[in-house]
Amino acid sequence: MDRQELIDVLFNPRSIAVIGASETKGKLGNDVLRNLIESGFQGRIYPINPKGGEILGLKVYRKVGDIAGDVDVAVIVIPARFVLPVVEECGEKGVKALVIITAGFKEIGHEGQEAEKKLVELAKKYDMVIQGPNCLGIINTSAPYNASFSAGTPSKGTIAFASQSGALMTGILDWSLMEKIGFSKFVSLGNKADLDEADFIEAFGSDPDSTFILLYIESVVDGRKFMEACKKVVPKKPIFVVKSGVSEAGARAASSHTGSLAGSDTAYDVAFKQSGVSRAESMANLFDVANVFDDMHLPAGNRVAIVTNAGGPGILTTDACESNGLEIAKLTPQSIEVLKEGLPPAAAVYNPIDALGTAQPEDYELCVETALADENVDSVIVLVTPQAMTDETGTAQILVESHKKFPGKPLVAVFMGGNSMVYPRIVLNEGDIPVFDFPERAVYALAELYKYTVHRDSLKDETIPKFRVKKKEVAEIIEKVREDNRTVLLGSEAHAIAEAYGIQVAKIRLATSSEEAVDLANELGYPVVLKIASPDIVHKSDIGGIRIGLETPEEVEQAFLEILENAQTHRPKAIVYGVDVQEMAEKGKEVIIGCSRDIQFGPMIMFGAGGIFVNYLKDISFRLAPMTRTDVQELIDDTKMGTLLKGVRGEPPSDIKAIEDTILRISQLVTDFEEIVELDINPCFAYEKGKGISAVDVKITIGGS
Amino acid sequence: MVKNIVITGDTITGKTLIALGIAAKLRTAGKEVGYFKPVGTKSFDHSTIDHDADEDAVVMKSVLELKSEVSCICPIIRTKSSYDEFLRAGHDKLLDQIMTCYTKLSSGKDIMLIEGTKAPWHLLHVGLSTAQIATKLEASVICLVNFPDITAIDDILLQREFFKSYGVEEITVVLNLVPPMLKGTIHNHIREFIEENGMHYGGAIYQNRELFSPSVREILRALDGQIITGEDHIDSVIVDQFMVGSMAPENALKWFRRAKHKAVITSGDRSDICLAAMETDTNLLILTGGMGPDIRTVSRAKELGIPIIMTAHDTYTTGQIVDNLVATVTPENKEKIALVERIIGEALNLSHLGI
Repeated sequence: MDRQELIDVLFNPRSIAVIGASETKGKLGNDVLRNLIESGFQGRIYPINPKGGEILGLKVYRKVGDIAGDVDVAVIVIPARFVLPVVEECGEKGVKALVIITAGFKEIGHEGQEAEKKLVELAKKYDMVIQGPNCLGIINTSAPYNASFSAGTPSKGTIAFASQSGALMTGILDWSLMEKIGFSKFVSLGNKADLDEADFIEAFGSDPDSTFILLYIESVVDGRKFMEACKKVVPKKPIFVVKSGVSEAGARAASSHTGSLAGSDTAYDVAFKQSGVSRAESMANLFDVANVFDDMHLPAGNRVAIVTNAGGPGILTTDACESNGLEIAKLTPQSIEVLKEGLPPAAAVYNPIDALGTAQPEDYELCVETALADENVDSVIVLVTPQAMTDETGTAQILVESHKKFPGKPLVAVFMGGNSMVYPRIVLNEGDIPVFDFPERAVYALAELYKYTVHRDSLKDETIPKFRVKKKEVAEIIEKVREDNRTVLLGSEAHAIAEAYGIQVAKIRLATSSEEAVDLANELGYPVVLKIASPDIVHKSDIGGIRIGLETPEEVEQAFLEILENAQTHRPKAIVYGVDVQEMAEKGKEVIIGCSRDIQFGPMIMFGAGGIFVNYLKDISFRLAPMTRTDVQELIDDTKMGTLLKGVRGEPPSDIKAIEDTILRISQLVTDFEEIVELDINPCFAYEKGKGISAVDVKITIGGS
Repeated sequence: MVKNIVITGDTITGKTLIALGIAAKLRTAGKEVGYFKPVGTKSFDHSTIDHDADEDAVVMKSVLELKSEVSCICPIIRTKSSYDEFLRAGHDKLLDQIMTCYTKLSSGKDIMLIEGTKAPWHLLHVGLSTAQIATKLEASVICLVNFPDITAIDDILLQREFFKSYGVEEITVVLNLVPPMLKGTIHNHIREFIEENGMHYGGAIYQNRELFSPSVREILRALDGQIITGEDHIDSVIVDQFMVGSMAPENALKWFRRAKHKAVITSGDRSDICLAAMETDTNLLILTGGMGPDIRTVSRAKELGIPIIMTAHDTYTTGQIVDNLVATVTPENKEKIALVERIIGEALNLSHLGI
């Protein structure tokens, strides 16, 4: 069986063994068994405890091997030191999936980590999958079964939720019962020794009971696998993620929590973007979106109709729509006629539709149903404020009915108020209409649903461009650097690599004597630039290690000696390989192209405004390699530099095609050579359309051994 | 007949490195190699109350598996107790001591490697400079000359003058600490220059961090630290470069990637820096301020086999201390010896000496 088939067994088991079942109330082994029984699981339940006997009316087996029938899933709740032999027993019994709730593995240090490795080996050996260890368990509301020690079972719904934090789940579960949010699957990821977020995303993707995927993660196990899984699933259903550890201090806390260095937050952001995943900034946002999605279909577009009984909230909502990328719908003339006829003359019949403070449930019915029927409207937000004549509960009931008539269009209610809104909210919840207390949250959630449809549609099956390059030459250069026991390439080496990948570079040659420097300058043509060639000297200009605009052989000779002298004075310990002689490139628009290898996601390409203002302007954007041409175009368009390159205020446009090609070639280079861990072209001069670019300063660092 | 080769030069560790390199080559060729250091300096680590010992002698005794006493491999130890410590003994007595030990050591050997004093002119005051001993033993001389830039050609000539004046005829020059940019110059010009001036060219040793890199044990000793994990690697792991980690981990990565075989100095409570460092080519974590790592850092280090040491010094002081560390070859450090044998062996070409 492959992994996904095994997860399917985990989701829909016919029999479950609870290893470590206990009759003592308050013990996890008791909670898990009770939850399982109370959840209405229709399959067989086998409590296992070496003491035997009977627990909660079920016969207890002493070990898994004693069970006569098949066991699909085993939930393990025994002390860590007993887990390995029990897993082995399960393997021999032919158990398909294990839920290891037991803690005391990777999170406690080296010994735990070793034990966890053995767990994974056993899983491989016996063709099982393992959820956890150190997790809360798993709940499937449609099987139904609850194999967790949660203090309740969520109501049935269409949201699949996986969380790296078990404690967070218990809080959400309890809250969801109050908010009437239903779940299809509730998975605690634990230490992710075997099954990780990517496995579950893929499984949720093909699970018919789930239409919406929510994730709370602190890190991903395998960045590439995660992206692949998301790309597969996003066309079918939306994935919303809260990824913590955004702030520096948060990242630090996360790294000591998980014991592994998470990739940079930028990399996560880019990975989510490139694989169509929506990132929510907070748990509140995540569940606002879930709240709407649980009940509603996706909007067909971004045009919103607003129905209100007060002006102020209507304007607030309009503003929020604008800033979240939603459009205020232009109603059809027919709709406007209907509204004019049905509403008092003082009412506003253009969107936002203000039915006035006197609006009765029938007025709301007219407005809402007209809006829902209007072909220019993709979704409707209904605002109700408690005024003297307002019948809040009646209005709520009307909305429930209207939604039933037009189930295809999202309808979101905002009932602003406190005590007077308690009962109407219950009515709306029961009627599957998402309700919020303030408009901004409602608009945010609606906008996220719309954005998902955009992400989904923009995920194209585009091929990665391949250029003809001289791969062998690059391999030889890198080999030479390795032999020399260096990680930082000399300018001449880095430029040669760029050249081998067809990038237009300023030519660089290494000179080891002043005569050689003069010869090389004659060959390259004046003017030239001289730079100290030493991997130990990073900031060359600080120590007088660069001389530019050298016009004559005499100047070159002079500069050569001066640069060496400066290096000797300021950095006597640096190992000097000579002086680079470089042709002067004609000045163009300065851009920067860089690449840094992220721990989780691999090579991340950067593009932006270059030159000395890089750090000040911070006009940069990122994408993960390998990239498609659309990726590159978006990367460039993300920056202000991208606009500048198109030509502003009568300036001729720059050679954007050449920049795109350069970035794609870099993307190919860092994908072909995993040993390139850092690469920077700064500055890279972009010339007028048709005239190409010139990579002036290429820096490359290699890693690995 | 035993062939005597005197290795001389005004260097700190170069001569012993050359001796190790040559000895390895000869032993592979099946030759019996002896080692003799007539005059050494006192090593407090290896000396006992009764016997003063020279560290190089201890190392070579262990590497070459010599049976003789350390006190015979290096019979005369300069203690610097007074200016006339050797004058009082006198030339004849000292020479006698040297010759007695030499005879003992050289029996049954094909080649004797004789290491000179720190500078070749030392002990001129009793007529026992390296040049004078070389003449006495009718030895070939390998003269190690530091060559940081081309002005050192005069140093080469000075050495020649000195040895010729005491009657040494066969001089081989080996250049030391040569910056890589001079590779071409040496090959095309300096070699020729040496040969035109009546000497042999024996090779060049280029600036190489590995040769002078301290081991974890040496760093631990210098920092008066405590090892937390990785005791097994204390001698086998060497450190080429030191870096201080203090920035956010994703920025630190960029820097950490620039250096190989490095030690990262950071405070014990920066588990993010420790983890970032371990993602790159890091050989050692030095945790300062007396703050130990958290359990997950230790667990990752164990997994990767990276030693962690902890010191009570602050980060700045730690940096200063390690910056001045120059590694020596110690008998415990087998890996380092193998490395020296390889690098020096490759750098030397002494075929004219039959090596």
